[in-house]
Amino acid sequence: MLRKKRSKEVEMHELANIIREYAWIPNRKIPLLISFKKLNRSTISELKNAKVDVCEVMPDLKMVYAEITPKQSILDNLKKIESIRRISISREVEVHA
Amino acid sequence: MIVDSPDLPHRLFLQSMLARNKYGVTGEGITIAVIGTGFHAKMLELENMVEPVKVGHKKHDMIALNPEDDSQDTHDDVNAAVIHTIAPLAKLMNIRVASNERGSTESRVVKAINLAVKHKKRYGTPNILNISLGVKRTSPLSPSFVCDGTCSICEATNTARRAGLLCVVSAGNHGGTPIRGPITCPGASRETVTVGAVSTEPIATGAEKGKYKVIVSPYSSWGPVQASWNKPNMVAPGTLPVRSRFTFPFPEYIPEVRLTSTHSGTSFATAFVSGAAALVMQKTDDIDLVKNSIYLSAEDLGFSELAEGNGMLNVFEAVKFAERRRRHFE
Repeated sequence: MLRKKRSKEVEMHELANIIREYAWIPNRKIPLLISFKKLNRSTISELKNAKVDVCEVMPDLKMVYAEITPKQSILDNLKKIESIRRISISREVEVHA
Repeated sequence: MIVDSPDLPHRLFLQSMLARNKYGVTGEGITIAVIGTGFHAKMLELENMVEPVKVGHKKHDMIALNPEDDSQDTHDDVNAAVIHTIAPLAKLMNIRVASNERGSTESRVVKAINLAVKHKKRYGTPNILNISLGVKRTSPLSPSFVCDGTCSICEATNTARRAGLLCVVSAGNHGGTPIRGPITCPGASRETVTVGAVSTEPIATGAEKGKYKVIVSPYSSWGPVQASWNKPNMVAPGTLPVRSRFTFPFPEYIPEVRLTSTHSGTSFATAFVSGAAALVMQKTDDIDLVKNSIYLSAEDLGFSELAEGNGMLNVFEAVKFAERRRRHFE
């Protein structure tokens, strides 16, 4: 439990750095994969209230694919949502050929 | 390990034939979802082997989560051909998330895994996920960081495992970098079968002159990961010479594949393991037993566990192990 909590902190720190890095690019959105302890309608509406663009809900994986504009305030809003287990940036994937 | 011929894929094809003759395993009733660049079923003449993906009331021969299509033979064409050669009656599910040149994004791969999990819960298939791509977690700021198996994509594969899917994942092609490794995600996850690659090098001197030594391919990623488990789990042939298809001694089983060049990468090693897992799965439904059969029957190459894991895949021994265990419990 402690380890998971710590990794969430690390991700948040990393996200904050990325937001600082990309904030000056106009209309830039950061793609995120957010996993939840519990995923239901109220958590989705909580996300929407936090000004997160919810692109796809994956209930089987308890995960949401979302996009945010690089603002620290949105990140602070996300931190307040308790049911979030982990937030990570959707990075590039390479083909192993 | 010393071998007479450098053609390791041919060795595995023969092992699968032996398993077929002795234990009657062909991969029948097993479905493998190939998540990657998508394969051209018509070109490979594998149309009958494709299981359509049901979304709502519609059936799709291919789900394309990636809008770009590479019209040339793709990386998954080779994977599909390898799987079909090892497990000729296993069905294939075609999910395209990436392109050969541009790769993909993590979210698309997670969506594909979600689709497979949903399909498994509703219709009972697929049984195996063949994922031959990955995310490199290191960055210039943290070159030694490797995932501890809790990132989004690793978590998605863990959920897939809990839903009853066996995830076979390539280790990555980063062995040649100054820092050995790292294993890409979802290869770092505890629940996946992470596969590295092996190739051969000729022995020039001594009593074994003229033979070949099996080595872990220089490009294959090494462990460890930041967790208490060892990765990669095993290795399989990653270099696929074109001629291996045409020297196969039983011409009736050769799939009609037009490969234009030699292919190498941990992806192709993954396809061998997926095919072997399909054969073993025909003997048992227990995924842990499937994994154990493949691991415990692997041949030790004498390298570090961080490079070869349990050793090189032996298809025949894996099926034999599963059959013996099944009989023992009956």
